[in-house]
Amino acid sequence: MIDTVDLKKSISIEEDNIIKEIKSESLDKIKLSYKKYKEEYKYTPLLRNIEKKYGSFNSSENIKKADSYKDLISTKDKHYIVILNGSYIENISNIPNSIDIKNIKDLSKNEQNIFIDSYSKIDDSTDDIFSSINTILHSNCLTFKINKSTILKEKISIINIVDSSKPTYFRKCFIIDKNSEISFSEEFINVTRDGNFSNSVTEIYMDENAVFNYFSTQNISKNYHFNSINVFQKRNSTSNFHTYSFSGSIIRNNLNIKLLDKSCYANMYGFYAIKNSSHIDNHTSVDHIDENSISNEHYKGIVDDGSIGVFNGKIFVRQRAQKTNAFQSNNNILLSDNAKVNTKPQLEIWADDVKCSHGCTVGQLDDDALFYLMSRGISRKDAISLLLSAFSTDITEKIADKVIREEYQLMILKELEDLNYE
Amino acid sequence: MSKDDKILKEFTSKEYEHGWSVDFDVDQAPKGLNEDIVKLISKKKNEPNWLLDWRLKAFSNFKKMKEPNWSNLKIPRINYQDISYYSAPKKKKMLKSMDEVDPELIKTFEKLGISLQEQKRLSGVAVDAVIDSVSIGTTFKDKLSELGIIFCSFSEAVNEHPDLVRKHLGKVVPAKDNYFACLNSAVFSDGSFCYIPKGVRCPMELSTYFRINASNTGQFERTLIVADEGSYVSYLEGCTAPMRDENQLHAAVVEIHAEKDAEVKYSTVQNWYPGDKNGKGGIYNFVTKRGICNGINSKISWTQVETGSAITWKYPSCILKGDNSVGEFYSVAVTNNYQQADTGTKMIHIGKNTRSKIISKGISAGHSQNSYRGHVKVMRRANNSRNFSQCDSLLLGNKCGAHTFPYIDIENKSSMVEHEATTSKIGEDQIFYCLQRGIDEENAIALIVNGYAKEVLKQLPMEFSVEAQKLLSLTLEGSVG
Repeated sequence: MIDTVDLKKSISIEEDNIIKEIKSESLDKIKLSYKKYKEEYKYTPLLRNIEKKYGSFNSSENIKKADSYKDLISTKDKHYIVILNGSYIENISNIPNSIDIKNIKDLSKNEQNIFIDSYSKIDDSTDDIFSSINTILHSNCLTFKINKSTILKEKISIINIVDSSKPTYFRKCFIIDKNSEISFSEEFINVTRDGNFSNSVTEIYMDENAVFNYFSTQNISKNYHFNSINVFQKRNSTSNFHTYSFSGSIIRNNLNIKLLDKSCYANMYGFYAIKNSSHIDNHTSVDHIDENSISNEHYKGIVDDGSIGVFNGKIFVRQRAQKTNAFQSNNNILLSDNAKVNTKPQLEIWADDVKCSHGCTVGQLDDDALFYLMSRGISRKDAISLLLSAFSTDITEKIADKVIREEYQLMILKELEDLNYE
Repeated sequence: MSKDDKILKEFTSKEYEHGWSVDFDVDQAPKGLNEDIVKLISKKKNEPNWLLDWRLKAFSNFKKMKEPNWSNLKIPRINYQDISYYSAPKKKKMLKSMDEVDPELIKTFEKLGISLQEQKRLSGVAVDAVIDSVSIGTTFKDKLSELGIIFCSFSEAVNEHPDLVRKHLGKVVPAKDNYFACLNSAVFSDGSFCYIPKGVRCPMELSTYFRINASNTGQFERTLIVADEGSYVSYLEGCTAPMRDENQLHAAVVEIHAEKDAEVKYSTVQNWYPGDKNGKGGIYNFVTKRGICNGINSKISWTQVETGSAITWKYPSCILKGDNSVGEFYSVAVTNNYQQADTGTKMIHIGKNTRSKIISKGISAGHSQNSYRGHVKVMRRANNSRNFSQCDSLLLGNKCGAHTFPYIDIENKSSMVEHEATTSKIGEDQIFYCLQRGIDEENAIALIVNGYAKEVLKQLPMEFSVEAQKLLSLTLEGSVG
């Protein structure tokens, strides 16, 4: 069991009464989430690694002046949001007028109430120990309010900078009002040397007819990262998630989607190409609570060297959720004898009039295909990267926007070049 | 009441067919679980010291263990002290031929539809019938012994072939493997032992029929099958239990050894009392079944049709140690009313070029919960290994649940693993098609379900296949509209 003394201390210094209450509730839940740790982190010893490294989960304060991080912003996007160790750095960010970003403590009482209703209500902190710890230890919850019928075609970059020798906590809460459409991409940049731990929890509330697109790139070399995204969808809303992971000592992604209302769509796509003893763990869950919703999930991965790829997909179809269609698939290619894949596509169904399926495969490149390409004068190396990039296309082609799709395809191609195929 | 509801009600109000009990003269141990009971069982069985020590060691481990809680089952608290761990029809003398068997007992079998006489004459199946805890009479024993095949009760084997038993007992399922296997190791009362010598192809299906008779007795049988090099055996196991209100515990262990080029086929039809329509009573079935393919080119194949028991917790597994060895698992699990089943398999690929195939068909109706839980593990040196898994679920009615938990762990780059699963109900268009051709709804459903499960049923030996098909259509009579 983890040491709760530090956690209690952190709650006692919290000034805001409401937030203090939320944090105390989370502390009560921590026993429950710890119980589930053994099964949920069967293949990912994140807790042991973090405890060994830091001994404590507490974070520390920012160190440098915000301006010194300006060079790290390399995004092509017009709008970007810079977040340093969990706090929003307004003066080097560039946000559109239609979005308002504030710390939950700085909101007016009325505005705060809107967020408090949802804040930390549907995160996975009863199931996940790191979410619980995030709820207790984060100091800034950033709120993003997207007003009714706001349609932003251009994607907005969220650049999270980790610069601390202690664990850092990121917390975001999005409320996307009716008929809005918005896209975000998110990445984490580690400034400090190897072995940093960042813990990020995001909650997304989507009202009727809202559309939310989210792209995540994870390339954090020797650092540890925990990322939990919790989505709550109302009638006719659509969410699209694209997760691309390339390196990290341990990366754990939790993506939990609750389809609370009728006719919701949820699409989850992921691609990982990992080498040099990286460890990527994608845990997703889709909860179909009401009728007529559709969820699609497809994760593909290439695992090289001593890397480990973990996938766990859960589909829940509740008794009320008749006429549900839910699909889930996970395909892996192993490139090395030291690589490992642990996958568990899981279905739990209580309704009868549904179409649900899941599948998963683990294999290698098709020798016949390789031979075919080589017999036509393509070098072995080129043939391999051609086949591997074809493997990734299933995922990237799901990106609807052409510009964004090409950007990610190029990025993947570059990453694939570094893989070794014996 | 709509037609659907009516049909559903008819189906759910079906009573258990095998619900009767026969009053034998029973020799029963007092209730409770302690070292003295373990010693008592061992003494009653006239066991050598090494086996008693083995039991006691298992019991001391058992005391340290906790009931597993990872399954997707709601298991009511079991009071292990409130169970009698030994129950045997009183032996009057040693039985040599079938004629000496208690006529009451033969009646029991006739009611079950497996009259020993009948089977002996017609089908040539050798039956080792186990009632409660003691094996009663083994048919065709002489004929088998001509070939060098040993097929006898476990206690007989302990006394007559101690070296063989000692060499293989607990090697595939170690005494402290899991909670229920550990309990079994401490208190197992009887079971079957089977040894097929080198190069012998067993000419007939070997069969055990289990039946839990006395109330409040747990049945803890232990089966050990050893197939020596180049041999072949097909082994059948069937289970029934009379209707009792209290839940009865059943914790069995089956161990299979397949040496080089050997093949073992193990088939089970389980139709124990599932409890009444309100979920009262029924058997708790916690079984550990595991086989090891020791030698190269060996093969173990599990086929199971699970229709009974209030709770089923069962994962027949294969350890594919020898190169080129093959493991197969075919399963149909049907749950109705308040039945719960958490069943599946484990395929552990250790040797090179090992292959495994998993076909699991779950059918849930009423308020039941049906789970598939499987584990496919490919170890580092298992080059070119291959697995294919398919687990389908069929839901009848909207109050039941179907769940799938496949664990897939791969550590070898040259292996191929595929898993697929679907969940659906019987298509209206399929039923319509049958109706249109003059097949009524009842028969249409039976037809579709049988077709759905056919891939598994066809793996069963003939005699069992007929019984299993009958069982399926009976249990599912008119359960969907």
